[in-house]
Amino acid sequence: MKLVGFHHATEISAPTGEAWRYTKFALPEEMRPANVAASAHAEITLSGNSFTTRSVPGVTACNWQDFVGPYAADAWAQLPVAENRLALQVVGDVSLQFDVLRSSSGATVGALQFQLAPGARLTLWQECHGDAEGLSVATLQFIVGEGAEVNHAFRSKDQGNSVLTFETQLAARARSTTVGHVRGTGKTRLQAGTILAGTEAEARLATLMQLGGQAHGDLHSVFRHDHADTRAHQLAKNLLDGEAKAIFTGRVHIARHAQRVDARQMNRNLLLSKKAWAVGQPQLEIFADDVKCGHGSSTGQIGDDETFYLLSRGIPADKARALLTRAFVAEVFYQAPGSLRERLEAP
Amino acid sequence: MKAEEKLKEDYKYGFVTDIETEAFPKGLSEDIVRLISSKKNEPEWLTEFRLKAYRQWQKMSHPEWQAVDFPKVDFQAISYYSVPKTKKKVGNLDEVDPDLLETFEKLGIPLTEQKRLMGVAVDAVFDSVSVGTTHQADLEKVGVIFCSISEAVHKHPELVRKYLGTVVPAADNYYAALNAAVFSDGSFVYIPPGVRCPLDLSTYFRINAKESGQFERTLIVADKGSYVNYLEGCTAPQRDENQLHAAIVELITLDDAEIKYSTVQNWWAGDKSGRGGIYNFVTKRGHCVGKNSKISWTQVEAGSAITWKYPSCVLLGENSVGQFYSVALTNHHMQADTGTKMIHVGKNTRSTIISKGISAEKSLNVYRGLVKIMPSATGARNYSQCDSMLIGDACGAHTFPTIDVKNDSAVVEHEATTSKISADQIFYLRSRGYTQEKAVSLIVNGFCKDVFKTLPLEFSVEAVKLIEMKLENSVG
Amino acid sequence: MLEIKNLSARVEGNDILKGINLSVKAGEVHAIMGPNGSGKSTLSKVIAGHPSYEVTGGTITYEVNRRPADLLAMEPDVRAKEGVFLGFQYPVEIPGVSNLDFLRESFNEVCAHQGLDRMDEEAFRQFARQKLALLDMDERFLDRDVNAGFSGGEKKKNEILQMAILNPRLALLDETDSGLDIDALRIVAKGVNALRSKHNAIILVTHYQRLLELIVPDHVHVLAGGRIIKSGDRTLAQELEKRGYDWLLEKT
Repeated sequence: MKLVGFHHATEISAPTGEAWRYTKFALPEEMRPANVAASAHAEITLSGNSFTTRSVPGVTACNWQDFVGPYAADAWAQLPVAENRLALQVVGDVSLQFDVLRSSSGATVGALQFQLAPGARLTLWQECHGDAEGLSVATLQFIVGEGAEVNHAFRSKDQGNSVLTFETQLAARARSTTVGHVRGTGKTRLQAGTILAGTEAEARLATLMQLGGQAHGDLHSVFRHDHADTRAHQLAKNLLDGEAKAIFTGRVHIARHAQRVDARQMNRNLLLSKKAWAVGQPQLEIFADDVKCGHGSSTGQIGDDETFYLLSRGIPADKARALLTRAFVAEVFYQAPGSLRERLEAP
Repeated sequence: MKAEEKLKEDYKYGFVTDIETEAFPKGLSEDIVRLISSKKNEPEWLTEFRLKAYRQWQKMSHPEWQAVDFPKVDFQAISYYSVPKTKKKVGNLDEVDPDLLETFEKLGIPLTEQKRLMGVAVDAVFDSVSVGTTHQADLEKVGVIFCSISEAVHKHPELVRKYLGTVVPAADNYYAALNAAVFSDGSFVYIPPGVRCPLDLSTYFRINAKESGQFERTLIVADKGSYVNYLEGCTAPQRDENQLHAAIVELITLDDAEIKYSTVQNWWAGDKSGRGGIYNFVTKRGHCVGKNSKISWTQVEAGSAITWKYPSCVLLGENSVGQFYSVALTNHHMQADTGTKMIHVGKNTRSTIISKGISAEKSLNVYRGLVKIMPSATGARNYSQCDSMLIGDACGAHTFPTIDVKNDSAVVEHEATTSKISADQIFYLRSRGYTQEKAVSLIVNGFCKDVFKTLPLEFSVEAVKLIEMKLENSVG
Repeated sequence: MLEIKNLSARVEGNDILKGINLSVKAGEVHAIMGPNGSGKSTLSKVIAGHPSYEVTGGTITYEVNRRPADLLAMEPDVRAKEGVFLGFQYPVEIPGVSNLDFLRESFNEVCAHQGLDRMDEEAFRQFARQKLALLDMDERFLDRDVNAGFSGGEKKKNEILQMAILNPRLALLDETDSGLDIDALRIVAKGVNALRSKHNAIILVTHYQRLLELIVPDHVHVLAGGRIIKSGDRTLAQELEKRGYDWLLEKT
């Protein structure tokens, strides 16, 4: 497929290989920018082939910094080039909203990079919208300086195709939390790569794909522990109805010198219909011997014990089921701090 | 004594038996396949079976997805048939070449009447050929057939033809096709309806000849309501070159039948610098065809330069059960890429996977499992637990399970943990009088307990000793 | 109030209860004791209607509006609404659902069924406060998730709190004392005793005598091998404490 009108003509062909085994996009020959007016609520909007920004104290444009993240060789993540990229430096305490939008049947392609100065704090709420015809490819990078913190939550309601790549690099004592909610009816590929490159760096990733109809959600994540004493917790939940499909591939790589790493991963799938399909592939690659590393996965329906507990307190079956489904979802949103959690919980 | 010699001493099965063998010229072609078939006087259908598989193999290419790393096998540099030259047709075990008998005795598998293992019927396979089977008369009394595949092809052709290749067809994978073309021998077991096999059955494989590959096939059929406990053991001499072992094991259980298949593997793993050793590529699969049938795989892997095997179960019959218990120990430069596949097709099927990996020195231990719940598998239940223990800082453990669920009434649970032997644990035990080695042993055995307890007694004792021996000098 | 005749039940293909006969009147406290695996927990779960348990024989009659009703024919939530309460041995954690929401929902369902008015959040909080005080529990407890992150003692207290709020006619307390220290035990017992009346009945499933010192039973039954092998009064419990279960099992 060719991207026309995006500063450079860019070509991409369907990726092959293990990492893309379950997800294929059926794309037209050519796509053009699907620009729409910037969102009123968002300080940064990416639509079509351009970024629109409003000035925010503590945030200044800067030079793009190349770093080799886990998706450095991924064609989709690297699709946005030169003018389709925006790099911002963050100092102090900043709160922002970032929207990824599309008009009908076109493409939105861009990459946004935040460089957090040591000690800085960024709270970022992200929304993705688009209708059934188009394609959004958005790469979001966080280069987090020493002791800095990023709290990021996003919700995607994209009805078309989207590839959202998040890459985070954490210096010593840096922390990141990303909580995501995918509710699209289309085909969504999330790629989340985190490099823990300094002592006591900590990352938390919690995602919920709530899919029905013919929706397809594919979460591919990589946690690379390149330094000792780092921690990462991942919770990947899928709530599937209709004929929806969810794939989860979670790589955790612990380098030889990365001792005393604490890496946990949990994948939970709740299937609500006969044709829903979940695939889970947790992948641990461990070369250090003094680590705490575990992953767990469970797929099933709402538990008998939990249901019975509520029934035994007089709550009828349908209400019990709704309550427990809500509880399933809530656990993901709980991972986000304060204001971001409220955004996620709002309809 | 030189270090090398001391090392070879550690592997007490490393001796070579000096015996005349008849071997084919090296290399593989349709002619070689026909020659193998004619040497064994096989019926036409079996020759066809081999040829079809050979042609299939030619179209396939060597798989690339495994994590283990080894130099390409040169298939034309291997001889595909090696038989100990016997002076006459052997009527009973007493007529077997005494050198061969001595070999097996050294391995702890005595074949002669007086000394044979109590309660275990043994089919001994030397290089590619079955040398003899004990207890055949006892088994015949209850209708159990336990003999070499070559013999079964002649004595019970209908049974062999009905089941051979139904569980692992040639097209399944590269090595399955190769094996189907050139397999030399193996064991055939048939348990008639309602019979609980009175003896444990065991096949003992021994690779002796240089530059030969061993391609054996095992086929076990448990008819309705029957039960058999099967033990597989194998060893090979130390050599500097690598040897290839590409085997196929097919298990079939009909209604209410059960097969327990245990393996304690102690191939030569190559010396400490990674030279030599067996390339062990095995396809092992069970079909739980009947209702309420059950297949359990238990294995303890402690030696082979490269191990590549995924015992699996396809759970077809309603309420059928598949189980996989494994301890895989890698040391020095060993690489293991192992795991299991549980495929749930029928209703209310259950599977349990308990896999324990221990890696030491510079070794790499990879677990790769698949739990697949097909849309028809209503009420399927799976529980998997994969634990890794790392000893030392130069080794690695990877786990790559895949959980693929297409039925909403299934419950699938998976847990994996990684740990090391902590200095605290070692100190605690030493303060109670344990030596360093004994302490490590105790902890590792505790780690493997869940798996060892599913082994038959003789094997579990051997397994514990094996692990201890392999871990000597590995823990700092 | 409760009449169990020849009840047998199984779970996961194993027959656990093999013919239970038990009669409980309003105002009574019955203790069920017995060795591990005898079926004590199974009995309470069957009475409360746990879906994993299959009744293979017998009947349970429960008084509803002063008339005998077939308990086994009622769905578990209907049984709860008719005043049957099971205090779980292992209370289930439900992260993501707050105690307040859970208790209020449950309370309102029961009220609605019995023709009483539902309570709004504020009114319910006030109502709950009194009950919390009874069990020495902090009000912040209402905002925590159901049993999530609770200690063993807190979980058991939560069960009794629910009992206080729902005011059941028949309470089945399944090993409520297990895992509790002395102080927690006293508080739990205080709560249960405060709820005793001549209109309700309590079945206590327990291993140990010590709970029965605090909540004094009218009848004690020993369950072994799926049957009640002996019944008596509180002195039976004292004897079991001294002699264990073996002497009874030998007799049968």
